[in-house]
Formats: sequence, structure tokens, C-alpha cells
Amino acid sequence: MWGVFGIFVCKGGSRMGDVETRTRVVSGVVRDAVSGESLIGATIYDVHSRKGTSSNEHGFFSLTLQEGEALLVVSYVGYVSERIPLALARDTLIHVDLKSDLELQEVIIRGRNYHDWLKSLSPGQVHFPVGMIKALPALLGENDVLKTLQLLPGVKSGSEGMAGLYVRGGNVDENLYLMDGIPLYNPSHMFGFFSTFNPYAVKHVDFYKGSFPARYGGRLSSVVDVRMKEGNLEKMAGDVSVGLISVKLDLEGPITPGRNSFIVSARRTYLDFLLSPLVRRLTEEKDESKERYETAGYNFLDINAKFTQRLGERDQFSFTFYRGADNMEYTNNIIEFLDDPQYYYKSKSTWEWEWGNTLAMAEYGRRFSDRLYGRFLVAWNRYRSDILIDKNTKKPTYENLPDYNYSFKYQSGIDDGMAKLQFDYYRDQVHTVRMGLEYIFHHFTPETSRIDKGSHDPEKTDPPSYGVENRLNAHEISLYLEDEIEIANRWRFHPGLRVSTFLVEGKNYLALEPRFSIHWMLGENSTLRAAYADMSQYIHLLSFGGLMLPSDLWVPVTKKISPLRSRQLSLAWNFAALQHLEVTLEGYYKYMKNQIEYLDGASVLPEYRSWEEGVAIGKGDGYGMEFQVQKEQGNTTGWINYTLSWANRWFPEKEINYGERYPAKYDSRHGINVVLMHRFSPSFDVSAAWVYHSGSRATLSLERYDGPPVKGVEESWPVEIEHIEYRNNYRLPAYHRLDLGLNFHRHRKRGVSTWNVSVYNAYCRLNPFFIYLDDFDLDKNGKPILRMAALLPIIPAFSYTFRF
Amino acid sequence: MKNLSIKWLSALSLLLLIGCEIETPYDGEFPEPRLAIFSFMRADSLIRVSVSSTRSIGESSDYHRRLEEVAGEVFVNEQLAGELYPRDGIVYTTDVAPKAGDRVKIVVRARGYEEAWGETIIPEEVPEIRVDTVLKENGGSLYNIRYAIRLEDSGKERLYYRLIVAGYSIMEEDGVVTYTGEDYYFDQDEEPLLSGGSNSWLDESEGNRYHIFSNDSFEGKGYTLQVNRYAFNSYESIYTNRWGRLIRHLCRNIQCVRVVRIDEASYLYLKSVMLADRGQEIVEPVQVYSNVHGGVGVIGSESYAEVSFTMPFKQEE
Repeated sequence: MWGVFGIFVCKGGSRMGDVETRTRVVSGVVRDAVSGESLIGATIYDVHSRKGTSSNEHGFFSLTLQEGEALLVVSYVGYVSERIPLALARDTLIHVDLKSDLELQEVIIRGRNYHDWLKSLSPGQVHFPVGMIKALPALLGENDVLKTLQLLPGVKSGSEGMAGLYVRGGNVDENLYLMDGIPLYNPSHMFGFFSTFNPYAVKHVDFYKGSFPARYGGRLSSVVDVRMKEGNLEKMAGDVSVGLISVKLDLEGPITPGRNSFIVSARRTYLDFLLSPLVRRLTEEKDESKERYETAGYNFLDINAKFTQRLGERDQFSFTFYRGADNMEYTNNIIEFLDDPQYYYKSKSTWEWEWGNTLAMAEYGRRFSDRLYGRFLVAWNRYRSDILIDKNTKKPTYENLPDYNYSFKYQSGIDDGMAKLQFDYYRDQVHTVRMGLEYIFHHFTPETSRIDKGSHDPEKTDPPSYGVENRLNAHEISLYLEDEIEIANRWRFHPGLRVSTFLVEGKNYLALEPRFSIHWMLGENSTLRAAYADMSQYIHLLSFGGLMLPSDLWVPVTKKISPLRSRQLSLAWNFAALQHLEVTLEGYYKYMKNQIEYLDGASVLPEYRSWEEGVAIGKGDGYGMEFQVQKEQGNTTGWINYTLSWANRWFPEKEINYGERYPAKYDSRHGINVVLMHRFSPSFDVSAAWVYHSGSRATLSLERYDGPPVKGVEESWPVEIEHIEYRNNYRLPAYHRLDLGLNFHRHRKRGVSTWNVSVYNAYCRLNPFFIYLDDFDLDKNGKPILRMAALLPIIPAFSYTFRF
Repeated sequence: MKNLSIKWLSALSLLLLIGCEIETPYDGEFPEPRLAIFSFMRADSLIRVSVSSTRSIGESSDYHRRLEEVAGEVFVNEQLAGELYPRDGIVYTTDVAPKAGDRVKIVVRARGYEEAWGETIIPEEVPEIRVDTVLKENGGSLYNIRYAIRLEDSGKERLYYRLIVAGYSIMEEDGVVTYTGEDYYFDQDEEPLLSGGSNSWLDESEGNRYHIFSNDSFEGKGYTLQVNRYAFNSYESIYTNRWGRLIRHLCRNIQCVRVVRIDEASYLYLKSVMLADRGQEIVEPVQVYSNVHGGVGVIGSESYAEVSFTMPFKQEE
């Protein structure tokens, strides 16, 4: 691969060598005209030469053009395009400030033409503006980045309401969630119902599901690259929002205008304030002999904070902090009065569970020249799940016995320390090279637990305190190089190579991950893209049934469990049709190996002890076709997409399904998403999303028979066998639902207020969360009853936001 | 008023989050009933086949479909060798005794059912074993027997086994057998190959009730299994019955160790039955193994080596 890559670079370079002397470089930063925020992924396009590029994560761009007249068109979704005429006689530095078109028009997306769209596409890449996330109807009014991604072709949610992603036949742990470039292990709150990304703090989202640029690695199926806001450089701004379950506060502004900025975003649910007194009231028992009550509460919290300092024209420094946590608490309080009121027996049991991510990062970016931009970051990232069970019993004083205290502490998680060095080199009109080096030190704490007893029965042999401690370190190093080669305005090649190594338990895994894509402009309105990507993954999630529970365990590969690998081939055709319609047709085939599945009869509750013994290593594939029509301009926007897909698994060593292929749990044949937003006026817009996909799969026994007695054993009676033809043999009923949303905006003297009313699952479709066959209670025709638990019936919600 | 508002809000929050259980008749198709056939055969023994039927999950376990016009053939090395004859209930017998190395195919038909068939190869080799015993009196007539069962392994292929440790009691009075009994209990807790220590699929607490194992951990090296069992001594007594006649009463306690080499199909079937029968709820469902085409069940084969001895005699009055 290195050889091939080298040829590309050399040939491209020599071909352009004769015109090298007459080229000039236009570089700079694309920013929001009001807030000064850099804009990621803005398109910069010269109409005369038909050359173009896009801005990087810090808004920086560099475009090499021939000397003379140039007309730059700078555009960004949701912003008014700028046309900048230039007479290029020397290398030129310009800063482009784009005016947002979203001041009053949350939904309207403008400022991009077909050519920009076609040129800016990377295979498998999906970018959508954050405004769209806020405009769509949401569960309990909580706008959600990941739920919006579920509306894209090739992406499927797991169970009802879950924020997890199943992308192109992959598993839920095969998605890389990046917050400002740092992986987040737990991307959800409330057992997966909401994502950890507070949309009010999000600036930009890129989603990759097909061909992955070499700068991304570590997961097989998708990359969700979320960039957080830097804060308004010019003036103080913010918003306050109150929803059905949460309140949010965002404040951003400059400390020194034009030089530095900060942003603080906080979100907290207040269910606990409502539930706890209710539970206490419902469980309270009080009489002469006893007082008893229970309390229970749940909340989640997100805090995003970022400070950005611009150090002149060339340098930028930022510090980012994120804390997202879920908390559950339950207490049981009992007081039993004895005959004499001064003697009593008092007991309090507390159960606390806290889990979440904490992230701190410092990043330094520097424009070394008008062709070279570099970034260096160091970060610390923690995912932790803590359980504390505490029981305190106060004995009656006259018994002269000590109080009894018992506490159980459980902890699991990962601590990552990481450093990244990245360079973007805009070599000439042909090459844009990106290279980087990453190091991650993983400290896994899959399971530590400790039991402390304040008092114990001396007759028993249990020690007063004992514990289990499992800790594991691993080192991950990645090196990547990618080039974007543009030839004759019609061809774009994107070769890349990522080399990664993972050292754990004294074993070193090495992976070479070639990536390649070709982009062929068929005409003004049409392009053909083909891509190949090779991916590796070194950590797994042990979870229960697709739910995102705090008991989930992240574990690394081991001597016995090799890294997951995948190879994906995709072919896409994009074209512009009619007025303002962008059409995409894409096919893919993905082959995966070292897929992990629970063995027959293995406990599916995550457990670290001997986890390798309960799983098998096998293969999988996913293939299908995706079709999407999208409209991004005008008063009516949205998309309709259809996915036809297959996902299979097989275990050649015969541990599961006796080696035969079987459909994956989330194999879904058909998927349709219809998303529509319409702006009636600057004060009122509506949105609707309809989701349909074939049901997921479950394993059900549908027939029985008697096995013969087995001789030579104590228990030699015949056994009744519940026969399962193959794993995941039953397809659940289809999943569908309609969500509706209304936004009322009102302009006030000090800002804009927005009332959002939304209805999740508007026609109350009871989608199964899980199912089982009840053969004890037959229906009138003697057929067993299928019992399905549905979690989310029709759910209306509202929120109020004041933006200032 | 404030309290009331809080209550209403709390109730609303709860209502919104409470799930619903939907009850609906199973709307999918049930598989048509199929033949369930089982046969575990060995060299130089007549083949017996049990033939029954599957039933839908909703049908009572007491309900057994009556099979009509059951017929079947036995093919040995692709040549028709015999037919199935009804013997006792669901059991059918044949007059075919295959030889070691034979490929045996059983084909079964019944009216209204798809034809089902399965095949196996009779093992050519029997296990090579050596059994050492240590007898220790455990008070009175009870002995603790410690077995060290050495099983050789050539390392040529993956092999599967069952261990049977049995005790047979035969009582005679004046040479006439008056009682026979058998007992298959033995203590396998100290043997990691059987108790779960080296069987990844086996939960230690659940036990390996069919005592199956593979040569996975000792391929090419051999292995010595160690198990324990209690047994009574044999005895002979003479007593006078009520008619004044002297009766010679003999009780022979025979101890037997049998190492059965089973084919992969039998092993996978027994293993999956044990896993499925563990009664744990939150586990991945277990697919019980079948190698029967057009039906379910197992056509398997085995060979065995056996060592037996009679417990020491004690004279009793």
C-alpha cells in the first residue's frame, strides 16, 4: 500500500511541476460573521478554475490557484454564500465571515449549490446542520444528535427509543463517538434513551458509515464526529430552555472580544425532584409500631465548557471540559418501635448508581504556513460506573449489640490518556495531505468491588472486608497518512493508510488499514464514487440485549480474543434532480471477522469473570442498497430514504448455530425514513418524521419433541426439547412511528423565544421492546400467546427556549 | 395546591414512562410436525431407532402424535441392509448389526410427514484405557473407591467421550437371581474435565450430568481422570428360612468403569440438552443439536472400553 501511495504522490507532483511557478495560494479561515466561530466543512470554490476545497476543524482552508483572476464562492449549509473576486498576484490570506441564514429561520438551509454538494462529498460521509437536529420532533422534547442519525439510510436504532446505532449490519459497540476528536465510551443517558451530546453545545456533526478517511480508526461501523462550539468571540449570548424533563442553560461570549471566548452549556433533568416525593408518598407506612418509606430518584446531567484563545493570526489554543453523568438512588427507611418508645430498631438501605463520562482536553492549533496547518492535543477521558449499596442497622440499645453496617462498592470503567498530533498539508492544486500520530494509554477497570462490614457475626467465617480488583492496561498507537488528489476537475482520489498497534497482556496486535476512494464527476449534476475501507477495533462492549445499561463493560482484546476487523466496499451515485433535489443511490458490502456473540446458554448479563468463556468469535457480513432524496433549500426541506439490507453472522468453529449462517439480531430487510420540515413564516414551522423498518430478530422455540432417555446416568428420564431451528429465527413485528413537532418563535426586545411542542409516536404504535411466547396461557384457538412489552406509547412534550 | 401540582406532574411523568404489555396471538407460522428420530449405534450390535414426532409449542407435553404407517430402511455403506420393525411403543428395531467403520444411514417415513434421515460412521477404534482403583474402608461394609482412569490419546483428531461409573448389585438365593440393581452415581467434583474447571460451556454449579468431555485439553498426550464412588462389599450368607431350610444368599456388587467414545453428533446433542435444561432465564437461548435431515434428532454412534470388578466378599451371618 505504501508503494501505491508513493506512486500517486510522485505522479501527481511531476504532472503539475510545469505550472508550479504560476500558482498562488489563497488561505484563511471561514467564520460566522456574528459570533466569530470558525466554520467546519465550508466549501471554498473558484468559479474560473473550478477548483475547490473545504475548511478543516479549525475553519482553516488553503487553495492553490493559478495567478490571475479568481472568483471564490464560499458557502456553508445554513449560511448566505459569499462571492469574493480576487486578482491573484501573490499568496493571499483572507478571512471569510459568512452571515447565518438561521437568525430567524431555524429550518431553512440555503447557500449551497449542486456543484458544491457533489464536490464536497466524501464517500460514506453525511453532514447535516445542527439546526436540523433542533428542528426535528424529539422524544420528551429532548433534541438528540444520535436519534437524528437514526433517520439516515443504513442506520437503525436498536430497541424502541434507544439512541444506539446499528450501522450497515454492525453491532452497537462498533461506532466511534468523538467529542472534539476524543472518543466517548458512553454516548447515552437514561439507559440509552437520550444521547450525551447536548445539541445546544454542538457546532458540527460529521457522520461516516462507508469509506472512512484514514484519520479515523478504532471502530468498524461508523464514526460520529461531533465538534463543540467555541463560544461567541464578539458578544455575550446564550439561551435558557425548560422542557418536560430537563432544563438547559447555555452562556457564551468573549472575555476579550475578538481574542478569546468561552462557552458553558449545562443540562439537567429534574425527574428526581418529581419522582422522589411521589415514591415516598406512595410507599409511606406509619403506625404505632413502625414507620417505613422509600425514596427513588433518577437524573442525568451534562456540562460542556470550552475556552478558546486566539494567539494572533496563526495560533489558537482551547481547553475543553465535559462531564456527563447519570445518577440513580433508592433508599428504604424502616423504624420499628419496641414496647418502650425510647427503644427502637432503625434500618436504612441506600442504593446509588452513578455512571458517565468525564473528559478534559487541551488543544493547540497553528497555521505554520499558508499550506500547512497543525494541531496538537492532549486529553484525559474517563468512563466510570459506580454502585454503592449501603445498609445501616441500628439495634435496640438495650440489646447491647453493635450497629450493623454493610457497604458494597462496585466500580468499572476506562481511563484513557491520549495525545494526538495532526497536520493538514495543502501541497498544491492536486494534493491535500493529512497525516497524524495518536497514542492512547488505556487503563481498564472492568470490575473492582469491595464489601465492608462494620460488624459481623463472630461465629461466621466471612472476613469483615474483602474485595475483587481487576485492572488492565493497554497501549494503542496509530499513525495515518491520507491524500486527496484532484485531477482534471473530474477525478478525485483519496488514498490513505492507517497503521495501528495495540499492546495488551504482553501481546501486540498490528493492523494495516488501507483506505481508498475514487470520486468521478460525470457531469455538472452527477458523480460516481467508489470506496474501500479496512477497519480494526480493539475493545468490545459486553452489554445486555442492546440496552445501554451502566452494568455494560468495556473490555479490551486479549490473548484469546483477537481484534475485530472489517472490510467495506461501497459504490455510490449522486445526482441533482428537478429543483433542489439531491439524490443518492449507494450500495455496500461489508465483511467482518472476529465478531463476538454470546454462546448458547451463556449468561447475557455482563460479567467480567471469565467473559471470554461465554463468547464465541465468528464472522459477519452486511450488504444492501440505500436510496435517498433530499431537499435542503426552500421553505420545505427534508428527505425520504429507503434501505434494503441484510446482516448475517456465522461461526466457522461451530460454537453458534453449529457453524451455519444466521441473520444478525438487528438484521432488518427494509427501512424507510421520511423527514419533512416546513416553515410557514419566520414565526412558525412544523416538522414530521416517520420511521419504518422491518422488525429485529429474536430466538424463539416454536416446536418441541422428546429426547430419548440417556442410559448410564442417574437422571435417565426422557428430556423435553424445545427446538430452535436457528438463532434469531423469528422476526419481530415491523417498527414504525410518527413524530410531529411545532415551533413557535417570537421576537422580543432582548432575544427570541421559542415554544416547541412535539408528539413522539403520534399514532401510538406499540412497538415491541422485547417479546416472548407464552405457551402456558393459550388463546381460544389453542395457539400460544406472543407477549410483547412496549415502552413508549404516544408521548407529548413541550419546551420553552429563550435565546439572547 | 403546590403539593397537588407536584403530585400531578409526578404522576404524569410516571405515566409517560410506564411501558405497556401487549398480548397478541402468535401470528407467525408454526413449523409442520416433523419426525424426531434417534439412534445411537455401535459395532456388532443390532440397530434400534426411536421414532416420534415434534409438536407445536402450544401443544401439551402430554400429547403425542400417533404416527401411522411408519416405515424405514437402514443403509450400510450405501447398500440397503434392512428395514425397521416396530418393537415397543416408539422404539423400532432392525436385524442389522453394522461393523466398525461402516457408514450407516437411517431413513424413516410416516404418513403425513416428510421423510427424515440421518447417518453416522461406526467408530473403528475403542478407547484405550487403564483403570487403577484404591479401595478404602469407610466403616462397616462401605468402601470409598478412588478411580484413576488413564485414557490414551493418539492426537490424530478431536474425540468425544462419556464416562460411566456404575455399580451393579446382583442377589442370588441358591443360585437363582432374585434382584438386580444398578447405580450410576459417582463424585466428579475433583475432576476438572468433568466438573467445569476446563469446560468453558459448563457452569460449575450446574454439573455435567451426562459426564461428557472431549480430548481438547489433552490431545496427543492422554489424560488420567480421577473420580470417587462409594460401594458396599459383596457378601455371602447362609440362613435358615421358616421352613427350616438352609438358604445360601449371595450378593455380588460389581463395579464398572466404562469410557464411551461418542461421535461429535452425540456429544453436541448431549451438551446442548444439558445447557438447555439448566433452567436459567437470562441466558442466550440454546439450540439443541440435530443432524437429522427433514426432521429432528440424532443419528449417532459409539464404542467403548470397560473395566469391571467385583467388590471383595465378606462373610455375613
